[in-house]
Amino acid sequence: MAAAIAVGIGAARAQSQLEQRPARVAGRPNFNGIWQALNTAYWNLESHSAEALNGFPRLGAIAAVPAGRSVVRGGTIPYRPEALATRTENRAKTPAADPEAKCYMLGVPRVTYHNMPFQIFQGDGDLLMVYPFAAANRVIYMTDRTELPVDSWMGKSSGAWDRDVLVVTTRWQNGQSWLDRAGNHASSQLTVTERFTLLGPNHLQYEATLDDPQTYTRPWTIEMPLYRLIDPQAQLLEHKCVPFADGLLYQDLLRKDGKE
Amino acid sequence: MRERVVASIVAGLTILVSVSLAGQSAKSAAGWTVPRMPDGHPDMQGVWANNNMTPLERPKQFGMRATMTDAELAELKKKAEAMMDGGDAFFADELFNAAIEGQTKFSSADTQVGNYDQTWLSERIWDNRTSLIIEPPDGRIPALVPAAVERARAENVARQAKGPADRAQDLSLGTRCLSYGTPNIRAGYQSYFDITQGPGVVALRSEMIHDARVFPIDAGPHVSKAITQYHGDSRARWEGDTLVVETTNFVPNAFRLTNTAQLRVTEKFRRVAEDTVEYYVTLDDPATWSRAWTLMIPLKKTGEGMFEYACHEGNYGLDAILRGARAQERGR
Repeated sequence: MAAAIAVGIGAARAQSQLEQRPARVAGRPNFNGIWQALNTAYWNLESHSAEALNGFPRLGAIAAVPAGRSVVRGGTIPYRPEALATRTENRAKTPAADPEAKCYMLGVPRVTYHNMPFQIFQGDGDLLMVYPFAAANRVIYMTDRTELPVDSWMGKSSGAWDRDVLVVTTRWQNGQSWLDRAGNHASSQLTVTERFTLLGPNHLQYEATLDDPQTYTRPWTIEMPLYRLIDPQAQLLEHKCVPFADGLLYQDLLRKDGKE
Repeated sequence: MRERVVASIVAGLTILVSVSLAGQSAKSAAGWTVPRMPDGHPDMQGVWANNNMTPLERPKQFGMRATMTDAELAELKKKAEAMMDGGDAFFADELFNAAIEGQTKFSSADTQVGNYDQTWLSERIWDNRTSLIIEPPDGRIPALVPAAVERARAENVARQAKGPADRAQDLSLGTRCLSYGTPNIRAGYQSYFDITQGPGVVALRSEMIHDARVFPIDAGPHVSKAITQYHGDSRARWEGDTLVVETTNFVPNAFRLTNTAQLRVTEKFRRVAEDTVEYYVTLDDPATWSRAWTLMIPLKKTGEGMFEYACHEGNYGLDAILRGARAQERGR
């Protein structure tokens, strides 16, 4: 009897989630919700050991990079030699040179696998994706195919359906973002082609192909699952990080105490 | 199967109710009915602009009159248009108020450094309202409570004790590219909004510093008071064809005028015509104003997209302000 009641309650809760979450919206798979990557790609897209972040001894073990496996198909990023040298320079200047440290918008695809959840809004027209870090967001334009007249931090994303797969092409980013905290980078010639495939109501498979002949010897692809936050109280919380970057950006320009 | 039957019955009822409410709307043009999303709620998606010329506060000469006569409007428009000579840019209420005061040449408040000129501005739209504020009936922001007057005085004293730019944190939220105020009610510059609707949620994205505010519908209580945000925390519901959004949990000073964390904002969005969403904003902060006040902005549909405004990424101005202050201190 108790087991039957328990099953009944479980079914009722699952049913209320179903009523809130249609499987399809306007005839398409329903991507609405809050999603998050659960990996260390935001530290380093390629395989990496656990290690200390140099220069922050007072943070102790908090200032450490966790180990992680590569999300790059084939393992490593196929850099041109000069672009690989740029990555080495980036790593020497990290974290201060990382646009993330300055609270700059992360660009595509870095916004997707950042360590904060993001939210997808899908009705019967353009989709919207909202990312808390630096209050970034992007429209996925489903019919507007006009070019961006000028490069921007998030570029312009055009979406189309390949049966039940949402395919998003992003161009006209300005090449000033990084791809992760390990100095991986691209130029303004980058075209990103993302594929979002629902695996069920709470999981999607995310792939992103990066094509940038100025930086890489060939296009390459990252892949990872994204997990939907199922807590009914889940919501995005703001991360307007400009005040956290003030010290880094303006430390040399502070009025020094004791000067007139 | 049962869920589908229930869903279709609910959808059918929703459509019946929505049709009868739409019939009661006195503001729709004859023959126009509000387009609807698949879930039956009004479709307000798209890009909407606040380029209205109506000032926030009613100039005192209009007294209790909510509208001007056609003749008054024509005269004011003529005076304002005479100042649209490509010179200093005017934002929000500035040109309207200059025309009211009988000025013949518009000058920016900041005369020391170069300023935007009028090529940066959106075209402004006139109507015959004398103020955006509709409550209180005098069309003006209510008096500050004594505690707020004291706060403003204390902040002023603290500011005088410092230089104008000792640290980045001494400058305004706008100058630092954090926020131009939530809700954003300044007209005429990046005053564009993009509404996206999904099941159970609405997002309002503004061009001004690319903010996206999320309005979950029927989502239960606000977050704990321990969490404050520049956007506050929003909860929405539909009342017939009107989207009602309640926002609390504001960071102090998150609105463009002084406010405390007690601020409660109630916004209402109602699409009344093909090209118009009426946007009502009620601001209630008992630690700031002696009573709640409400304004209404008619948002107009544009056929345009919004552009990225990467304010912080391009904030050379703040760097220059700090460098200039340091140079002045060194006597150069």
